[in-house]
Amino acid sequence: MAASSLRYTELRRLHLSNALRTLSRRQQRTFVLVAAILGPVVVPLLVASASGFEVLVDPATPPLIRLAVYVAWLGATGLVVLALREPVFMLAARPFLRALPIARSQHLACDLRSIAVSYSLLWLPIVYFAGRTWWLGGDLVARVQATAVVGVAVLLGLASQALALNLTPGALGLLAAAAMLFSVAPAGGPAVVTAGLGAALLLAALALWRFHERPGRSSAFRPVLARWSSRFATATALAGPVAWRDLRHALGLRLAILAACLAAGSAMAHEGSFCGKAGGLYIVQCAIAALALQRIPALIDERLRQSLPWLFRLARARRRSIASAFLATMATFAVYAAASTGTWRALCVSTSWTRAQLVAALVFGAALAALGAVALRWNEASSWVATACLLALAFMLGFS
Amino acid sequence: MGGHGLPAGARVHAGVFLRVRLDGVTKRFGARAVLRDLSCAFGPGVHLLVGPNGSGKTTLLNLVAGVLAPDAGTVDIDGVSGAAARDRVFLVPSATPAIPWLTGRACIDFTASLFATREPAAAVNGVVSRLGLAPFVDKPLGEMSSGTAKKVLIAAAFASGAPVVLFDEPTNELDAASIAFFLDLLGASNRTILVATHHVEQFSRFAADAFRLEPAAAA
Repeated sequence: MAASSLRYTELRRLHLSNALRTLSRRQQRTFVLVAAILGPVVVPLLVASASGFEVLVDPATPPLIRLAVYVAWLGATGLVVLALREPVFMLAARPFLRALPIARSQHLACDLRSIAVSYSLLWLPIVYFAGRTWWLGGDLVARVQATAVVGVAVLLGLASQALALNLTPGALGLLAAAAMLFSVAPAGGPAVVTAGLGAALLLAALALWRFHERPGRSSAFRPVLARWSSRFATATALAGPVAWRDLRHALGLRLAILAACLAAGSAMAHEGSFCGKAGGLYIVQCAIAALALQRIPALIDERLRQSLPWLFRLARARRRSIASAFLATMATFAVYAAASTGTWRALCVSTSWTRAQLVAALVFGAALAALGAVALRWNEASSWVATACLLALAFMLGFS
Repeated sequence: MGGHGLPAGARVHAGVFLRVRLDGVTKRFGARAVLRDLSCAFGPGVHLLVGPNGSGKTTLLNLVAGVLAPDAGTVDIDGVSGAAARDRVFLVPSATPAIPWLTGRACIDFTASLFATREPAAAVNGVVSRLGLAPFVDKPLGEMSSGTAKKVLIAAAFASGAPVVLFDEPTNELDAASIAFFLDLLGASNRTILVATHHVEQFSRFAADAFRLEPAAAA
């Protein structure tokens, strides 16, 4: 056998780089296309993201808005980590690696490093923000404070994502408390800021120490959950459990798109100058949501066909599973549309919401249902039809 | 497989050195208790874990390996429990680890390097050769058949020199010659070896040490 052994950190690094190389090879053409189309849009987007950090560090920012910006950052980075979850956490090989004598600290260091690498382009707004803060000059204390606030936001995000594999109620509670402290701290003087940010970091460190890579122990709440999940499984003709077991990452990705879209809308509403265009932006939000959600019933149906073909052949069960998938999709869209409406209304005082917005939500809801049915019949081939239809609808409603 | 003296914290009970000890262990998955108030101990030698599907064989191995934590009771190895015991145990899972780019040689070397007890290279090469792995050992795991990948893990378990080795369905994908060599390897060892299997007939020479698990009654 070889004299020099592969180290665990190297194994993780190689796994991530191999996966990224394969992914980039596979996605090369798409990358080129996206870069060509979106190239001119990237720079303004980066500048806009960096301005989000300015909202974060401004002592005058209300804690709720600061929390919203932090959650938006968590959502944006979480989206990337979710998409790259296998290479980032070595998910498939993780049970094997867990059984080996590898220190928890090594697992943690590798997880944090892989998550940080997966952010890739998302580091650019931070670099841009840091550059602006330090090049433009001004009060040294304010510059140090601004850098510390953004640094802590990034560290809290990394800690939250490192705990994603073992997100117990305890870990969630500690991370939520850290986020609360973080959102309140920058409003005070230097001593309050230091104490608040330090306490937030301590809570995140405690969460990592207490919950990261701990062997699984059953929860006392599980029997109650099991009873409910069994009812849920029966009511949805297994569509619910199948969606949770096999499709939670794909569905999570779609929900993350919705969250990111909602956060972007909130940021624009808070900024103020977009309030005049609230109606048009709301339509775009609805169109994006409908596009993100329209294949969910088809995805669930396809998975049921693959993993439970015997159930798929029972017409009654299939009808029930399709109905529950549609119901859940439509309910998600309704909640999203209502949240989006609420955000614009709350943050843009001048915005007058007319019947047109309700019509927009209803039209896109109906389109979502129709496109869901098309996707059920034609599967992936229907994606371009959905894009074209929703674009056309957005233009029609936007210019009406 | 190599020899090991009595480590600190080891216990001797009625003249038998007990290396792995489970005391009042309960493990639940949801509402179902897979293991309920289980107490048992295993000394050096080969011990078969037998029982129907769902009786908790793999769960028991995962508890001993420290991958799972018991909901009640304790699991210790040489008197040590939890993460501290992990460098004394090697778990060979039933499925191949999904690291398709890693070569068999790198897998054996990487896993063995994590153990202070690792065997000398010459002995490992002998095992690799006897398992019929030599022509394939430099191939990535993703390009190996499941049987060849299983042999890589068996070689890695041997190379680690871990005093406790846990095998989950080790012979499922192996050819007859490899099974025969694997059984010889087990027979010559003075480690504590737990083998979860449905193929009791293959392990007939160790049948006296079979530990039967029955599905626990519902809570």
